[in-house]
Amino acid sequence: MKKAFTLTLILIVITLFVNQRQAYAGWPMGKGRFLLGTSATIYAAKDYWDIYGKLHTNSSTAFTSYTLGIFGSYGLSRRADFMFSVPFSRQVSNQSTDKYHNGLGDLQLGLSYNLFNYKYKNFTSIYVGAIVPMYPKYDAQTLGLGMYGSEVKLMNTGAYTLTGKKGYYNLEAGYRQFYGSDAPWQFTYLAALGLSLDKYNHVSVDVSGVYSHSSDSTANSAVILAGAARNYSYTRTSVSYGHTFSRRVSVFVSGFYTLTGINTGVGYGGSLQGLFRF
Amino acid sequence: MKKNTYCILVAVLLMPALLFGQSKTGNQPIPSLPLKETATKASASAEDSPSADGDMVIKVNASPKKSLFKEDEKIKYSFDVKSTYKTKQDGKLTVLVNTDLGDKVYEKSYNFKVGRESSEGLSVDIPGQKNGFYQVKFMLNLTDYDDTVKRIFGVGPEKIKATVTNKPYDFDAFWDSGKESLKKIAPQFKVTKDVQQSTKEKDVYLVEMHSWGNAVIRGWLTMPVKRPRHIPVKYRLPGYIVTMKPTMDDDEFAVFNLNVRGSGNSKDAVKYYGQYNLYHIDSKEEYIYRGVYMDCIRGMDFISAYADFFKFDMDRVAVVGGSQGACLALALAGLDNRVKLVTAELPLYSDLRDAIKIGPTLYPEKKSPIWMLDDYVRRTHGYTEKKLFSIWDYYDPINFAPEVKCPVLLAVSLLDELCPPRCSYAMYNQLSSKKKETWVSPDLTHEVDDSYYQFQYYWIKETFVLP
Repeated sequence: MKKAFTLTLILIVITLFVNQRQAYAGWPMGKGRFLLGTSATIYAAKDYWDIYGKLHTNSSTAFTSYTLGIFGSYGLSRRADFMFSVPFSRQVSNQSTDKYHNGLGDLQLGLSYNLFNYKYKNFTSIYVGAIVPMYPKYDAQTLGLGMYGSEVKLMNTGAYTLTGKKGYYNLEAGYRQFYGSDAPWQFTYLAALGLSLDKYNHVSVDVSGVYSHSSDSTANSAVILAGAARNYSYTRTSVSYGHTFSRRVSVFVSGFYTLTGINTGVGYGGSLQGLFRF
Repeated sequence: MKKNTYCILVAVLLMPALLFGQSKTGNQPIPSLPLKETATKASASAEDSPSADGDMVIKVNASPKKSLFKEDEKIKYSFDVKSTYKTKQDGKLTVLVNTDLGDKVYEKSYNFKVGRESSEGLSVDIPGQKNGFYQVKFMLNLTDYDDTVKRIFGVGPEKIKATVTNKPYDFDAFWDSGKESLKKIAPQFKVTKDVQQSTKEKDVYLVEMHSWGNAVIRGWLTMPVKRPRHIPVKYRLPGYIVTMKPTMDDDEFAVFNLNVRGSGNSKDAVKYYGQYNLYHIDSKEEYIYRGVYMDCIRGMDFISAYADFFKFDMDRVAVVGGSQGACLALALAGLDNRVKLVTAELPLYSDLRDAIKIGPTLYPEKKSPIWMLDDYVRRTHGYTEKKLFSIWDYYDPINFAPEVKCPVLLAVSLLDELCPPRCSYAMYNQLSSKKKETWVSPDLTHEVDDSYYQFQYYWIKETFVLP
C-alpha cells in the first residue's frame, strides 16, 4: 500500500512538472525563437486517499520530493514547435527509515502544431510527443513508471480583456498511453486563467488533474502489493504569481494543493520557475 | 477512450474559439488614413433603411473567403438573402463581372424568389478568368426591392504585372544626385525631451532636423524607459497630410514618427498652395514629393546618427506606413539599405499608370489623391497624362520595388477605392525581397482589419527574431 502510494506521488510530481509548462503551452513560439525554462519544485504529502477514495490521515508514511527541471521550446516554423522537458528529482520516502532516490525522470519531447487561430488572439494547437524513461530499470518504481509512452494533447489558448485588464486562459486535454505489461493510459486536463495586474506582474489560477487507468484492473490489492499501482486519479489546483523582468526573462512562483483523489496523496508544495526567451 | 469522449473533449477545447468567433469586433482604420473622409467598411450585407413593408439582408461570400483564385479556377460565391417582407418577393438576380477597367467578361441572370419573412440562398459559379482583379456585381431585382452588392476578386495575383512599367533611364541617377545633395545639407539634429508628454514608462523626444532645401522637419521619438540594451526601431511614416504623434503604446520598440514636410509639426517646412500632391507637379526636380522622399532619408539619417546614443539596434529597423506612408516606406527601402524591414498597408500611388484608370472606373465618386492627379490632368490645359507620368515615373513605388531587398509585409484590401489591389500586387511582384508576404482583407475599403495589426506584430517579431 505504502509503495503504491509512494509511486503515485512520484507520478504526480512528474505530471506537476509537465503542467508547469503552461506558461507557453498553446501559443506558437514563432520561427527561430527559443524558450528555455527552469524550475525548482518541492512536493510533500502525508495523508492520502485510498483506492476507494477514503481519506487516511494517520499514515506513518511521509513523502517529499525536490525536483529541478529544465524544459524548452523551439519554433521550427510559424506553426510548429519542438518541445522537451526533463526533471531531476531527489525523493525522500519516510517509512520506518528514510529512503532516498535521486535521478533523472521521464524525458518528454514532441512537436506542437498550431491547427488554427482566431484573429491571432486565440490559438488551438495539438501536441504529439513521446515519454522516455531516463533512469535504470531498478529505479522504475521510484523515478517513474519505467515505461515508454506517447502523448497527444489538444490545447486552446487565448487572450482576453476584462475591465481594462489583460489576461489569458489555457485549456488542455491530453491522452497518454504507456507501453509494457499492464501499462496504464492516462487522461490529463488543465484549465488555467491568468490576469495581468500591470505590465510586469501577473497572477493565475489553474485546476488540473490526471485519471490513470491500467488494463490490469483484476484486483487493486494485487496491484498495490506488487508495488505498481497504476489506477489513480486526482484533481489539483495551483495559484501562481509571475513577474516579467524583460521580454527575455520572467519568473513565476506558485503553490499547489491536491483537492481530491483516489489512490493518491494529499499533496501540496510550491515551485519557482524561470522563463528565458531568446 | 471512446469516440464520444473525444468529441466532448474537442468541443470543450474549441468552445472559447467558437464563443469569441461570435463576437463582432469593429474594424479599425489604419492610423495614417490619407483623407479626412473616414473609409467605412464595405458592408458585407446590403441593409437599406427598412421600408414600411419589410427589409432584406443580403450576404455575399466568396469561397475561399480571401476571394483570391488561381487562373481558370471556377469562382464561387454564396448569395444569401433574408427577407422580412410580409409578401413573397419574386424577380431575378443578375451577376455581372467586369475587369477592374470596366470591361464586361461575364453576365448571368437567375430567377430568384424569397417567401414572406423567410430566407433564400444561391450558389453562384463564375467561369475561371485570366490573371487580374475583377469586380462582380450582384444585382437583385425583386417585386418590392432592388439592390446591388459589389465585390472584388483576384485571379493569380502573384503573376500580375503592371500594364506599362516605365522606369526612366535616369531614375537611379536622379535619386543618387538627390541623395548627394541631401548629404551636403547639415542635418543639425536637435533632440529635446518633451517632459509634458513623457510618462513614467515612456520618454518622448521632439526631434528636429534640416532636410531637403534646408527646410526644418520634425518628428517624435518615443523610448520605453524599461528597455533592452539594444532596442529595435520602428520608423513610422505618415499618410497623406496626416499628423504623426508620439506612439505611447509600444513597449518593445523605439518608435520614431516622422512628420514629412507639410504634415503635423512639419507643416511649416513647405508653404504649398492648392492640393498637396499637385505642388510643383510640372517639375520632377521641384515636385513636393522629392522633398518628401528626401525627408524620409533624413529621418533615417537621424536614427543612424543617434544609434549609439539611444542604443538603437540598427539590424532591426522596421519602416512602417499606411497609404501614403506605405508608398514612402517602400520608396525609402528602395533608396536606403539601412531599412531592414517594411510593413506597407495599402500603398498609395503604386502602379499609378493603372491606378489612375482603375480608381475613377470603379469608384467615380471617390475624391482620392489619385483622383486629384487625374482631375488636374483633365482640367489643366496643356498638362497631359503623358506629362504627369513623366514626373510620376520617378516617384511611383513600382519603380523602387526592384531595389527593395529587405522583408516586406504588404496589406491589401480588395474594395480599396484609393489603392486598387491590382496595382498593389503589380508593385509587390516587383519586389526583390526574399521574404515577402501579403495580408488580404476581402471586404474592406481603404482600411485593414484589426487582426492585421496582431499579425503585423507577430510578423515583425518573427522576421527580426525578437523574444
